[in-house]
Amino acid sequence: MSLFLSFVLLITSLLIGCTTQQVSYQEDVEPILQSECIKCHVSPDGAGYQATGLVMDSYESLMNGAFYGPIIVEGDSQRSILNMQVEGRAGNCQRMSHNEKRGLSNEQIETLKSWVNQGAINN
Amino acid sequence: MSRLRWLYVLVFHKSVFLVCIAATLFQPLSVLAYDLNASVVTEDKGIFHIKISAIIEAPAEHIREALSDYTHIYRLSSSIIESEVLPSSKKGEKMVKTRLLCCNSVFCRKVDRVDIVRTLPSGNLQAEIVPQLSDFRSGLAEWKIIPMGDRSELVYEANLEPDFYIPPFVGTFVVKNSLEDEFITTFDRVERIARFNAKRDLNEEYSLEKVVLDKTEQPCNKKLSACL
Repeated sequence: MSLFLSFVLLITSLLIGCTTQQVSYQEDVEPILQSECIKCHVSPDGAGYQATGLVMDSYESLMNGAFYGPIIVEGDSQRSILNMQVEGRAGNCQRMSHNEKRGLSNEQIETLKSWVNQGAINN
Repeated sequence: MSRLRWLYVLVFHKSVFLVCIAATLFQPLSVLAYDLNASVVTEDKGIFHIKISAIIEAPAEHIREALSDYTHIYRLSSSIIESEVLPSSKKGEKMVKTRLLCCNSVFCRKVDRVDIVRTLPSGNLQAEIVPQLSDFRSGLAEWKIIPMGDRSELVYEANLEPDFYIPPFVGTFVVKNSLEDEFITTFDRVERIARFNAKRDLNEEYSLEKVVLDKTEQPCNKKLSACL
C-alpha cells in the first residue's frame, strides 16, 4: 500500500514539475523592474532610493534590499516585502509601483510571485 | 496520528502563533548591535505575560519614530504578510490591522489582529488589541523606551490572551524561546531604521519632503507625497 502511495506521489510531483513554468530573472523579471521600478529606485537621485535605500537596477542590488533589510525571502512570496507591496498587501499607499497606472498588471504581479516562489534565482 | 504527534502539534503550533503575535504587537525596533538583556514569559489562566528588554544602539527619539511608523510596520517582522493603517475617529490614536503568517515545522496558520495604538504622555508606545477583530480575547502591550545617551534601553511588556489553547508549562517554555528568536530579527530591523533616521537627520541636505516636492515631474513622487 505504501509503495503504491509513494508511486502516486512521485508521478504527481513529476506532473506538477512539468507543468510549472520556470520564470527567468533576465527574460521575465528584469524587464518589469526596468519599466516599472527603476525610475524611482536608482542611485543617487531616485525618490525611492532616497526613501528606502533600495536600488533595483541589478540582481545583486535587488537582493541586497533596503536600509532596513532584505525585501525578498527566497522561495516565499508571502513573506517577501517586494510581493507584499506590488500586490497591495502593505496598504494602498504602499502599493508599488507609484506610476500613473496605480500599480503593476496582474500578469506582472504573477511573474514576480512565481519568480520569488521558485527561489528568486539569477537565471 | 500518534499521541506524541498530537502533543507536538498542540505545543509547538499554538506557541509559535503567540510568538508571532507578541513580537509584532508593538512593532519592536531592529538592532544591529543590540544586546538582549532578559526575557520572561509566564502564563496564568490563559493569559500570557511577556517581558523582554534590550539595549539598542540608537537614540530614543529615533527608536520611537521607527516603532510608531505604522504605515511601514511590515518592515519590522517577517511574520507580517499584510498590514494596513485603518481610520480612527479618536485623536492621537490609530488602528493598525495586520495579518501574520505563523509557521512551525508542521504547518502554518494565518492570524489576524487589529490594534489601537497610541503614544502615552511618557513617550512610551502602547497597543491594545481589538478582540472583535482579532484572534485574541484580549491584549495590551507597551514599549518603554529609556534614553541612555546615544543608546537606549527598550522594554517590551505585554499581556496576551490568545483565542486558542496553549498548554501550560511546556507551551510557556516554547513561547519564551521562540519569542527571543523573533525579537532578534525585529530588534535588528528597528535598529537599522533608527540609525538610518538618525543619520538622515544629521544631513542638512536631506529632506524626504524636499525630495518629493523637488521631483514632482516624476509620477512616483506624486503618489509618494500623498502617502507621507
